[in-house]
Amino acid sequence: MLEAMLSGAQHLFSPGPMIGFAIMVPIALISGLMPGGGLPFLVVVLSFATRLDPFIALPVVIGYMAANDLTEPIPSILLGIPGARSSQATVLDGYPMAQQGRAGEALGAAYMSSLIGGLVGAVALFAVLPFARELLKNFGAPEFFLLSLLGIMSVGIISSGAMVKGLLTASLGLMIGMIGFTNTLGTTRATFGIDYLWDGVSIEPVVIGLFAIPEIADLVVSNLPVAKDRMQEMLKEGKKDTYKGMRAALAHKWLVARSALIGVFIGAMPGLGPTPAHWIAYAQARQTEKGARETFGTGDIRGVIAPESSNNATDGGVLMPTLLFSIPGSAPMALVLAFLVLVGIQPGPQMVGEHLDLTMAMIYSIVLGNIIVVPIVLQFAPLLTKVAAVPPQALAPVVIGVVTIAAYQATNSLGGLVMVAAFAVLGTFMKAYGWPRPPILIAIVLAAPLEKYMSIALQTYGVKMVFQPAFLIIMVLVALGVWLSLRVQKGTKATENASEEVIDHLHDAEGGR
Amino acid sequence: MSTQPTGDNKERNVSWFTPEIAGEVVLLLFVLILMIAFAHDAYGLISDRGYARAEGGVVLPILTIGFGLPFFILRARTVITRKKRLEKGMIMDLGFRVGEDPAGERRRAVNYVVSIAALFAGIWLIGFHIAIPVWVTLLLRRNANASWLSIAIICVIFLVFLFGVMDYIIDTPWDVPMLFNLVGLDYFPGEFPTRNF
Repeated sequence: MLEAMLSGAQHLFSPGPMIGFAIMVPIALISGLMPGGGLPFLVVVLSFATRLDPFIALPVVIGYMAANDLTEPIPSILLGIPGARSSQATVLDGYPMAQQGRAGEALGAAYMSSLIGGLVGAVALFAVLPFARELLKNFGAPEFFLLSLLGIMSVGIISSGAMVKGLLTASLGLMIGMIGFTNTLGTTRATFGIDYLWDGVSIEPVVIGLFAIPEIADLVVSNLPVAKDRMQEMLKEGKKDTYKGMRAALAHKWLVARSALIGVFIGAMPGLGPTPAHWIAYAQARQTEKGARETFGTGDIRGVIAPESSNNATDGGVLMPTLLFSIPGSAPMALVLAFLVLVGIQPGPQMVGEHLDLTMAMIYSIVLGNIIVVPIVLQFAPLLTKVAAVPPQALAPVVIGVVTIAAYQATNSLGGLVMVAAFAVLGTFMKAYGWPRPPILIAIVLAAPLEKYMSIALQTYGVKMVFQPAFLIIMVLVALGVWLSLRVQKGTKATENASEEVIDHLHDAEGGR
Repeated sequence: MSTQPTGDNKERNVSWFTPEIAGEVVLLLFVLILMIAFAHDAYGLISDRGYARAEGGVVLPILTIGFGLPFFILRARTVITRKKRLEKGMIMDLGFRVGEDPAGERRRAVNYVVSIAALFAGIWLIGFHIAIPVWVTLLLRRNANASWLSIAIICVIFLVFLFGVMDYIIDTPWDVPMLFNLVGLDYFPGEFPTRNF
């Protein structure tokens, strides 16, 4: 373990990853602030990163995601627009603070809480590794088959409000993942006579088509205006009293710690991610903090501290099921999972065995991403806010140009663009009609290992594999995790819907003044 | 065509011709085609090799179809009875946002689809190095009314990326565009110097 820690640090603090970080941090900051830019750019970063050494690529990708998350409070506080779904709660108190001329204080508190939350998440991931290492030693092909299967199913089930569609899309994803040549059979499956499909469906065009193009379509078509009337005022206020806000976050250390732990725990549950985590943290702060019931929603700094420490702490939490059990903790983690497979690393035992140093480098990169980015964002927050106000019509050509190049370079064939077009149509339909897309992606990524482990397990144990004790324990644990996730979601949805009304009310009230 | 949270979760009858039903029919047909293709492949392999010899490659497709079929039937039943529920937004995915200008949204949606089709056709016809800067210029000027200076800067960044990263560093092999093939010209990025590793 100690050797892996040192080796991970040695790899990370070498010229390659450091240059990668230097290039990636500005990209992460700008793309994170572009409305809807985070996911498409993550796809681009991942598709180019496959060309790099995993010791450069993975820490840089994780650092990119950590830095990207840190941009979320800026539009939430300064513009009253949630930078992402995981910073909706920050608007409730952050934006009223900004309206009261306390934008800098709110930003300072948000970033100090985020920094501590991110560090808590990284430490939690580090603390889990020795236990996971021992646990995974006892797993064989049947257990990994089951984990892959449950990984796909659990994300389908957790696709809230659409369980039938979620599970149907999971099986659709499995079928897409099985297209092409298979080693177990020595022949091709469902290629429809198209040569391009012999190698199977490449993950990059799928991701770009399913996610990037429909997300940009959403921005361009809805063309929602950004309130710019108070922008200049907000930009000036964003630099005032940031240290006061940072001190306030430190003064509420127990609130930060509680919220961060909530973030880690919720993040570690399959398929939940930071959105429910930050709502639960906000709700617990409102319930437990003195006088919070009266002051939350009117510009109480604790209403900024709780969600921000929680949503950033999920970075460590979501990596736990993703790296250790191939069960993505959130939608972007499905992309990370795909990326790991693309660079030839199978999540699970390898991540705590032969690639433990790589896992350590990823943990350090969460820490490094937070430490580097927080001061930069605090210094340049007002300037960065302007990026959030770029009109979608100006943004779309740039993003589409970049993702098109990324789609081509994944397969070096124009067939990649045809795949993008096909999956863009599918993704647009799915987005429009409420069919969840993440289960497809996860199923495509996990189809190959699922088939491999299933084949080995069937040959070794036959159907008796389902009576292995570890197999049964995993079944019970995952079922419990899914049940808990569904319960958490149910509560979160109600709060989220109510908050949307409050945010609308805040904007209406401002418009009426 | 939205799944935006509405608060209304009651079932209601909808027409066959609403996008809500038509779109779901398209999606269900896509799933059905894949299911039939895999079932056909599995059947072919079993009759060709016998189940035991084909086992490794047919178990997962059969399991997947067996697993997905009940959910397919459940969804198809909802669509056929046309009793739709206004569904709430999902945790891991979101529907499209709906504004207050349906006509404008339709116009922008058509523009978006046509412009992406034009980009892909342009790449097929004249290649990335020409099509992307031209397309970006046209869109930024027409839709965003961007200044010529900002357009020039963005195009230069794209060209630096294409020649510098894609050609010089990665040495990407480009498909020769159709127009170059027709005229019998070499595609110039293929001649661009690359980094020697």
